[in-house]
Amino acid sequence: MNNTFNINRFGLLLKRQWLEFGKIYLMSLVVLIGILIAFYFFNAPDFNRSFFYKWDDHGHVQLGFRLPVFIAIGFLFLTIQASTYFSAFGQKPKAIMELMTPASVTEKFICAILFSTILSLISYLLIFYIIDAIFLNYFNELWQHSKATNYNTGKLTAVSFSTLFDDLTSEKEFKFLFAMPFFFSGIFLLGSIYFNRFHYIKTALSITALFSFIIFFTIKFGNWITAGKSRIYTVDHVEKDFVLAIFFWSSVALSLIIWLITYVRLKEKEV
Amino acid sequence: MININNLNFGYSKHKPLFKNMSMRLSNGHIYGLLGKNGAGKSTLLKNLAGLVYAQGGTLDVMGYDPAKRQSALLEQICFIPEEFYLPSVKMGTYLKANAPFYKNFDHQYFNDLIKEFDIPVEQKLINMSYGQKKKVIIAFGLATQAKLVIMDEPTNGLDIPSKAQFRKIMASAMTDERCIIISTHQVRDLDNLIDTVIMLDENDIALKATVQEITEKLTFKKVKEVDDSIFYAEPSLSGYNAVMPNYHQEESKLDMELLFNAILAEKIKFKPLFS
Repeated sequence: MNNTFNINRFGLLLKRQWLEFGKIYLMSLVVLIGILIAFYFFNAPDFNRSFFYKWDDHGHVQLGFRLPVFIAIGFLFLTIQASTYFSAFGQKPKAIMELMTPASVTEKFICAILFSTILSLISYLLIFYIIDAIFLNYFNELWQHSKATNYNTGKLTAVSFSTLFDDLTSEKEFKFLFAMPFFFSGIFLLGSIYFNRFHYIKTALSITALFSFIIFFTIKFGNWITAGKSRIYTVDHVEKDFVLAIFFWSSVALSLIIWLITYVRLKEKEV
Repeated sequence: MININNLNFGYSKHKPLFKNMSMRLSNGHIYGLLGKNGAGKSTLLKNLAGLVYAQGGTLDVMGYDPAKRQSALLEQICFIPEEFYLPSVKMGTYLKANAPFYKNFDHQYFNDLIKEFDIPVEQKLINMSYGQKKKVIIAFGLATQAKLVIMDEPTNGLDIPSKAQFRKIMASAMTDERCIIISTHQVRDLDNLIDTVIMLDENDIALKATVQEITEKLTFKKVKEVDDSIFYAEPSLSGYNAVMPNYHQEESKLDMELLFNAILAEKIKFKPLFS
């Protein structure tokens, strides 16, 4: 039997993880559903009050609260899931049981990525999409016969609310952020095996300190190379796309590097 | 089964636990690993299981390097740590999740052991007492049919009847293909069970000998007075419990506790006998 990867053993490992952590995982999904419903409930547009409609490019009224909630709750959900995955390794008795399970490091690592990142991301998107669709259906039915002026076109338009997909595609720059969930999830997964206790707070503190340093260094460096030079404002879309593409591929590369470090850390873990 | 060559290990650079330790362990034996607190008993077991990595030398366990944590080796190791964790599930779920990793897992044997240990099957593992949990992992470990059984203080937390049950079960679990290593402080719990004594002291092996070899070379008896022929003696109610060279091929029963104290106190005297 292959000692690096065996599909049967990997299946057993997935089953083992699910039997041990599945209940907690499902409970966390219930909490997530509750939080999202609460946000929609308390931020639902009031039919009886006139309010300023914010229209998107597709002629739909935008729900202003949705995108910040999608990003903030998504960040918290993904990072908390990733941060708890290897937390058992911080406790000697649990770590021994995990390390002595007859599966290879590769299988254990792929299992970690599947549970902490892929499954969490898919469940989050699915849950958000379903809750959004249910509420949109309700809002659209409520506003079925209402019309308002679309400030983008200046025409009287029937009110219908934008979907989550509209929100995500209305800003072209958004697609360049697609690797960010993997990046942040990867960092917190690494933190869960790197730190023995208080994984989440220690990882959060570490990345805050690291990003603060990078931002400070970038500003100082930028000031240094542009010192004494005059500033010219131009809108160059090709250059902007190039910078965004660099940002996207850097986040992809960094995510892969963080996964690699996590793999090595798992391989080198001693109890 | 196990070859240790010039093993070097320490948790800090300035305080090594093992310095060039070498040893060979074979199947068909039950080894008793003894040593003072901090002598490195648990650490040696962890080295064998691949839970810590040797800093020098080589370790060969059934042809594998334990540091690589290959699944083929892991499924042949039953490691019962002193501190362990069992999840918040019932025994059935635990078995369903973990037993399939071991190709030779014997469900019938596991059920027999659970019955013998009188473990409540319907109770969640996390709610069991320490002793009950320990019995569950011992039963699970033995049912895996692993060739290398490593136990760190297995009798800690077991009540008196359970200790006797443990000895009986371990004796019956011994086969020619198996190697069992038991580390303990409670040497009396393992009386009549272990066939080879390994004693760790001062970064190395102070003694490695079979019980037969020890009782052939040493005699353990009660004496009224201590003379020069006695290697080591401890006062008792009726005189002294003494260890001395077995010049006259006398038969005596190994007193493991006395031997342990004797080796620690008079290592130099014993060295020529067991070199």
